Amino acid sequence: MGLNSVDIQPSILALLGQQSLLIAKEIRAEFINLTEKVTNKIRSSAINEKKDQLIEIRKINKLIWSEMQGETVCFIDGGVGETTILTKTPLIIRSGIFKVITGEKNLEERERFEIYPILVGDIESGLKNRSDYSSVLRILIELLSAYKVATSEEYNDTNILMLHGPISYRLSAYSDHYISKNDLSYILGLEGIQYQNDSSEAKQNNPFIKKFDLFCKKCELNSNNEGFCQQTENINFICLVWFILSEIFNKVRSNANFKLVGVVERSSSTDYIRDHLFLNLLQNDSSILSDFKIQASTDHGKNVDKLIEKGNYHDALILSLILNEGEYTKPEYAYKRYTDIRREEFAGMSDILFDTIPIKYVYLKIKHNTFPIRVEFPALLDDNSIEFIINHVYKYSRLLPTYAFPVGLDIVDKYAKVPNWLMAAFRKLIILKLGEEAASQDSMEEIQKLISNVLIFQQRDAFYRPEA
Amino acid sequence: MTDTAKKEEYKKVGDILGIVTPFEFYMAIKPGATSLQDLVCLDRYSEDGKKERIWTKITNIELFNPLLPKEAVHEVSSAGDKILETVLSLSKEMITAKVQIIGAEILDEDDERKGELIALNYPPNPGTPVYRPNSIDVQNILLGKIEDHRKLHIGSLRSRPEVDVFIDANPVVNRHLAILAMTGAGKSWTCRKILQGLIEKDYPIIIFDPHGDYAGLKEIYKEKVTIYMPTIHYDQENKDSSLSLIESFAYDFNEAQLDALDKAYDYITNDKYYSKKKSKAKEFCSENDINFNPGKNIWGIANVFESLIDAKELKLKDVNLTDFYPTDLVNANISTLRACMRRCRNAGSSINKMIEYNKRSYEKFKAELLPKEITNIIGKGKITIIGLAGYDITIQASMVSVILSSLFMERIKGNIKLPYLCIIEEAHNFAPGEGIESSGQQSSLMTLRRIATEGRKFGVGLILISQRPSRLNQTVASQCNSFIVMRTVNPADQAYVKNIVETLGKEDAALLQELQIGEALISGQIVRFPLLAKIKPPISRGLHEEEDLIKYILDI
Repeated sequence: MGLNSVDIQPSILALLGQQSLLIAKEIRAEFINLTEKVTNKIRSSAINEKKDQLIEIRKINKLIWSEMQGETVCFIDGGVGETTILTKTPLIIRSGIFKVITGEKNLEERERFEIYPILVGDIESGLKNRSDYSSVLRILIELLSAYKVATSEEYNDTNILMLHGPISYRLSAYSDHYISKNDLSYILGLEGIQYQNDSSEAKQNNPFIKKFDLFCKKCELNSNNEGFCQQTENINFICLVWFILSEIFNKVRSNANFKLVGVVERSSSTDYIRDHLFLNLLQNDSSILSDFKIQASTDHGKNVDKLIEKGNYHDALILSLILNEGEYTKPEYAYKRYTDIRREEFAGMSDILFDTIPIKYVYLKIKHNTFPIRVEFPALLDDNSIEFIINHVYKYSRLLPTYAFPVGLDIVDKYAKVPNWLMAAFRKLIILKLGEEAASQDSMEEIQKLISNVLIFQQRDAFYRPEA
Repeated sequence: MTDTAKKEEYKKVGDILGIVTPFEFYMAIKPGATSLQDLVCLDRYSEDGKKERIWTKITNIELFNPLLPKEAVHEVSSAGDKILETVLSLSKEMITAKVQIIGAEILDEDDERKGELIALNYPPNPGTPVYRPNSIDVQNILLGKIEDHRKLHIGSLRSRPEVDVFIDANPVVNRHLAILAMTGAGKSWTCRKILQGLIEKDYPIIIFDPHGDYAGLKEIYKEKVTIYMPTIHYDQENKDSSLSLIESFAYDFNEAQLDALDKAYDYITNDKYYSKKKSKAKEFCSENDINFNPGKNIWGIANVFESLIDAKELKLKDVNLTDFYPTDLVNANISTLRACMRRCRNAGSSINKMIEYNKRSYEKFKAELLPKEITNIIGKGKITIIGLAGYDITIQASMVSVILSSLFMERIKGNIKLPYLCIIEEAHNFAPGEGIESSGQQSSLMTLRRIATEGRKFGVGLILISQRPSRLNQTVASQCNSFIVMRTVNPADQAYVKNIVETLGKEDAALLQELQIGEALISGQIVRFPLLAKIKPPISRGLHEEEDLIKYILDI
């Protein structure tokens, strides 16, 4: 790799050029060369197989389809349907499952599609005024879909469960979010997930909630916190994620034929270069810092942070210059996933999460001219299983060489996408409702008041931007 | 129609989606629920509360799998893999049909318009279910209120073989019909099938048959059919047409030669004027050992030229040749006379060969020579075939022109009492659009144009049949109120057909090259709405019906 490979990767070259405009003036002119110097150094250490290898690069064992027959693969993807009235508003959250058995000739047996939509308006609990509220609901419904695949009879032949996105997001950001048992019962009651109604009795008897309650009782944190989780009707989002992933990981532990994998595209993470690549590099040779006009510190961690900051680097960008087509990095733990959870009640939770649902990841390059994708899997898998997973992700992604992402995830994304016409229809309904509300007022003054209330709802809306 | 067909229930085929107009809409359909050109319908209540059934036709079907990326299919194909062995999805095909609205049928018993098809002035609603009706209702909507005596059975719907297709005979015989298709697609077969129905109704028919395609009618309808072999009548009445024929065969007559030919023709045919001169000439020639045989045919004309040349070459000072021959002819240059003689003999030789071929083509059908008095060849229950096989196109065109115009004039004068139908095979040769090659074609075009525009007033109908529609005169073709279009591959012909047949939609036109032998798009006044039919075979055979020649040789 190196500059030659930059030359043949116009998209990456363009990105580097763009990056160079954003970084400190003092290294701007040399930015591309400096980046190349860094990546060449790392790459050459791997090729030369020196003892002081900065990176361990592995190669895909190319599979052929005829040897991958009779495998049941489930792809899951979630999404948010938004509309714009005055501001962007999430209206529908959905998750889709695409199950396919390779080589099966009977199409009805071969493929199965399911979709679970939630109307955001139907959910009563939670931090609705938070901008990440829709993300919380999306992650939850994706995980519930994965839970269904891992635990239900109809999916018990699944060999690979592949999620569009990480297996777990960085949970510290979501520690305040919660959902009521009523709402959870409603979501579970949606066709296909668990039960058909959300009556109180059904809620009490809902096996998922019963199981969760049992999980809470056994939880170390619960005993420390005097039943913090159980004393409320609301379930903390982190606890819910932990419970669901625990159940799925149990399946992974108990069934060697069941593989869980998450695939992340357009990752902006810096974990890999921060914790491994640049750390190794600077420990080996800190002279690079002076090239970047960085004053070296005795703390390598700080030096790494400075280098990342100075170059505005992220994992995918650096690895796109290091990895060749069909290569991937040595699996590493996703340490940051469960750290920095600041709520007092959750002290010690990071370690527990890391013990029970540990995750590893690799970066895998599908095509020479695309960014590598991040592939995540339970850390408890052995090397053969990891190789199995990576090879399959590569094979699925090679069917879409331009997109360079597993085709099954693209299929389920398209299948479960909330269509534009539906969102347009929702928008019309909302406007109609507002109109009806205005028309039902007793006096013109009240109508005007309602309309002005609606209109001033977002004072900085483009409607009110002064004309030139 | 079979009993099973009668018991059929309406089956739902899909639902309307997207933007709907009073003329067309799209609908999502179940796999295999319907097919191209199928008739489907939907019921609704009109604004005045009347129940109506909207009849429609499937004009296109699109199949799309939104979950199967093209890029992935290319990858699989280039690697030689099988899609079924990958994780690609094959099960989510979306089938969308484009549907043309034919009209609304009023279903209310009390409404006087019940059974009529009326144009929509408001589109049906999106989401409305669409059904495949039972065969009885399809049959009824095809027939409408057409009276039994006007029905002509020609085949069945392609999409529903159990439903018979009838056409209305009246517009066939009165409003002109064009049958257009490439060779071998089944034009003559279709025409014979239509004729079969008309013959059963004793309708007077005259067929101009350039290839003997219709001679087989004689074997089926025996005495009803008379095949005539046209002849050239050398008399004053037919002077123009006869001279035109000679001209067609003897190319490059100059003005002086034409003038000489004209005089020679008069000399042999106008007995009243030239009898004295001819008897004197006979005597003179006999005395001077000159051959004199001015028969009333092309050879006779050549003989006149020869005898005059011989007489002139004697250079007798005391003999005035104007006593024996027309003055202008005597004054003509001897080289002109020689050229005329040579050309007439050549033409005579060619015409003789054609007459011989023509005779051989029809001799087993007991063909007769076309009588001079032609009013009698038209009559109730009479099928008259003018056998043109063997003649050159230019001769055929002249013959068609002469016979058709004579018949039409007789009809106008009232000497032919009955209306009649003319069948013109290879119509592009007799009514060419461009590239007119002879005065014969010019004449036949003028005659056909006149009949096409005025024939309806006198009950003279045309069926024009052509395998090269783009070469057919547009004025003549556009006078046809109905069209039967069969398989057509030539792009120029397809474009012409699209242009001339107003009711032929874009999707219908696209079908033209996909049609099988015997399949036809029928449109115009002979049917209630355009439809795709499979023509049933006629009971008669053509003279040159396709044979398995390989088998024939093997069997020897």
